[in-house]
Amino acid sequence: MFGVDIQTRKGRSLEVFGLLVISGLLAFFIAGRTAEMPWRIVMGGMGLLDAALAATWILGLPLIPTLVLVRAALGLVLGLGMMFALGLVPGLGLCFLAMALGIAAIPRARLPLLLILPGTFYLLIFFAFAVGIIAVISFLKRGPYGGIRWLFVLENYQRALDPLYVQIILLSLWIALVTTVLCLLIGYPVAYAMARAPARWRNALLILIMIPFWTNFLVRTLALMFVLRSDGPINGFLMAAGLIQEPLSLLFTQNAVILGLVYGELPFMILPLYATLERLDFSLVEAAYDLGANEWHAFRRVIWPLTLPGVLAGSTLVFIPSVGAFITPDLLGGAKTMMIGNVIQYQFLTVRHWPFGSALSLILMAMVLAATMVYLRVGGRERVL
Amino acid sequence: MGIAGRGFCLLVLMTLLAACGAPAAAPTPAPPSISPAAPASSPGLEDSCGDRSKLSKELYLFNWPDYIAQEVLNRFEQECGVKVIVDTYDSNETLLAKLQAGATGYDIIVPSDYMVSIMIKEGMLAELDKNNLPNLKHIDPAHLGLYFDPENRYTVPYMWGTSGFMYDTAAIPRELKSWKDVFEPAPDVQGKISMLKDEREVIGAALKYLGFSMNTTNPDELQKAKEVLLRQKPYVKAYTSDTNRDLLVAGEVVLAHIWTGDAIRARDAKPSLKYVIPDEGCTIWQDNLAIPKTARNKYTAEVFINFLMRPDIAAVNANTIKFGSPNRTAIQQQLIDPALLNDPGIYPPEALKRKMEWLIDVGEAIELYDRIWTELGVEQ
Repeated sequence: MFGVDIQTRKGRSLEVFGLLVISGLLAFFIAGRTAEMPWRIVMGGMGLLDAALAATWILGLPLIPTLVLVRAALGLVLGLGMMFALGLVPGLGLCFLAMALGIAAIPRARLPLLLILPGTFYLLIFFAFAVGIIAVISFLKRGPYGGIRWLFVLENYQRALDPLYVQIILLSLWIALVTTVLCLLIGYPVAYAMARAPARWRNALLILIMIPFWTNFLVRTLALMFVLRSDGPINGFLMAAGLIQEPLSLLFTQNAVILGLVYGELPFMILPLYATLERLDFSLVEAAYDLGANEWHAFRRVIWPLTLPGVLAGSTLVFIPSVGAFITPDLLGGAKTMMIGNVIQYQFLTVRHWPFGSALSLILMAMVLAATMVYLRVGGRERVL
Repeated sequence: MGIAGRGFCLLVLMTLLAACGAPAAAPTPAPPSISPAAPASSPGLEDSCGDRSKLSKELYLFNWPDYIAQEVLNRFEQECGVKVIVDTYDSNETLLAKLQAGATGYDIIVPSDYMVSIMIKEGMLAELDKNNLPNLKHIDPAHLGLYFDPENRYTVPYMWGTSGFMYDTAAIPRELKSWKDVFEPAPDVQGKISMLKDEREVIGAALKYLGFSMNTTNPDELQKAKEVLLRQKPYVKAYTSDTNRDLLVAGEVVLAHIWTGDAIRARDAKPSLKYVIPDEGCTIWQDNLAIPKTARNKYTAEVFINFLMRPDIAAVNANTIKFGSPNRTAIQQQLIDPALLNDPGIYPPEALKRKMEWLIDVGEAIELYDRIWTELGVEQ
C-alpha cells in the first residue's frame, strides 16, 4: 500500500511531496513550451525525476531524502542556467522551488547550513571566481588585439611599479583621504545633531539623508556639473553680489572632483556615525561633566572613543569607493586628473590591455584590503551597526 | 490528516501522471504567420523588403547614440513589418569588449574603420551576401574598398565624418583655421578649450600639427607630440567626447576638438559656432554597417542594410543625424538638404579631403600612445 508510514515520518513529508509535484508540473510545462532541443530534454528529464521522487517519497525508502536534497541542489543550479536560456521567470521559479524543496526536506537541525548556501554560492561564483580570473589574467601577456596570450609573465606588476603609476596611485590615495576627512568633518556634527534631535524627528532626518539615493549617481554628478559651471548658479550669485568680477573656474578642477566625491559619499559616513551616536548613552557624558570635565574633554575622552567604531566604519565606507572612483574625475575633473580607477577603465576598454588592467585592479584591491585590516584591528572588535 | 493526506497525495499523484503525457500531446505553437498587416510598398517606391517570408519580426541594431533617424525605423516597420530594436554603445572599444565578452543577439553593429579591421582579424564579422544589397550601387566608390575592408566583403559604409575643431565666432572674432590655434591658443582662447577624450584623436591632432602622420610609430615623433600636448594642457578646460557639445553651447569653452556630427548639432543650438577642418588636415573616419557572426537574423539584417542605402531613406537619415552621407545618388539628386551639402565642414572640398588621414590600428605601438596619454593625465 502507498504511503503506509506517511504520518510516522519525521520532517515535512506532505510539503516535500507537494513541492515535488509542483516543480514536476512546472518542469513539464516549461518543457512543453520550449522549442530548443537540449532544454526540452533537460526540463522533461527533471519533470520525470520529480514524478519518480514524488512517487517513491510516499514509499518512504531510506535513500530518498538524500536524493531529494540532490534534486534541490540540481534545481538551484539548473534554475540559474534557465534564467539565461529560457528567461527570468521560469528560471527564478525553478530556483525558488528548489530552495523550498531543500528547506522542506532537510532535517531542522541542519537548516542554517542550507540557508547560507545560496549566498555562499553567489559569492563563490560572482566574487571569488571572478577575482580568480582577474588574478590569472594579471600574470599573462596582452594579445595583439586585446585578448590575452597564455604566457606567464610578471611584467604587468613590474610596470605597475613605474613611477608614473605609483604617482597616480598616490594621488588617488590622497584624494580619497581628503574626501574621507572632509566627510568626517561634515558628517560627524550632522550625525550628532540627528542623534540628539527629538525622537519623533529622527526618522524624518534619516529620510532626508537618504533622499539623494532616489536619483542615479550619474544624474546627480551631471547636475553638479551644471551647478559649478561659469554661468551656473554659484558663479551667478557671487557675481550678482559683486564679490567677483570674472566667473571662478570651479568645474574641471581637482577640487571639483573632491567636492563631487564628498557629496556622493557623505551619506555613507553619516549613517554608521548616526547608528553609534544614537546608541550612545548620554548619561555618561553628563557624568563626565559632573566629574568636572569641560566640553572638549567630555568629547575627547567619552564621546569620541565610544563612537570610534562608527567613525572607522564610515571612513572605510567612504575611503574604499573614493580610491577607485572613475566617473567623478572624468565628469567633474574633465579627465584632467587621472585616478587609478580611470587608468584601469582605460586599460580594459581603450588600450585593451586586460593583463595590466587586472594587475592594477588587484593592487587596488590589496590596498583596500589593507585599509580594511586596519579597521578590523583598531575598531572592528566592537559591534558597529 | 492521515486518511485525508493520503487521499490528497494520491489525487495529486494522478494529476501529475496525467500531466506527464501532456507535453508530448500538447500541440506545438503554430508557426509564426507572415504578418498580413505589412502593407505593400507605396506605388513609385521600389519594394525593399526582399523575400518577406524570410524576414524575422524583430531586428536588433547595436548602434551609437542618436545615430539613426526614428523616421527611418518607423518606415522600415511600416514597409516591411520588421520592428528594429536599438541598443547603444558609446565607443568602438565598448562595442568590441561587449562582443568579446560574449554578448549575442545583435543583428547589426556600426563599427568605425579601424575597429572593422580588428573585428575582421578576430573573425567576428559575417560575410555579406551582395545579392541582397542591390542598393550598394548608390554608394560613392570613394567610400568603398577602403583599407579596412578592401573588397567590402564584411561592411558597407554608413556615415562618415572628420575630427576637426569648432569655435564660437561670437567670442573669437577672427578666422581660425589651423591646429596652431588649438595647440598654441591666443590669450582669449586659453583655458576655454576642450579636447576629445580619445588618445588616438588627441595625439593624432598634435602629430598632424607637427606635420607627422597620425599613425606614426616613431617614438621621436610621438615624443614631440607629447611635448606639444603637455604645453597645451594648462589651457585645456576638459578632455571630453560626450559633453563638448554642451560646453560649447553653454559658453564654458569657446573652442572644442569635436566630431562632425556633434559639431553640426551644437551649431543648431548656437548658430555662432563654426566647425573647421584645419588646413593641416585631420582624421577622416567612417562608420560602417556590419553583421556579427552571432547574428540570429542575418537575412533581415541584409534587407535592412539595403533599405538604409536606398537614396530616399539615406537622405532622411542624413538630414536628421547630419553626418556626411556616402550615398552618391542621394547627394547628386539633392535629396539631402542643400544647407548640409554646401557646408564644407560636412562635405569638404576635394583638396582638403586629400589631406585627411584614416586612423589605422598601430599594433603594439598603442602602448606608446597609452603611455603619453597617461603621462598627460598625471601632469597637473
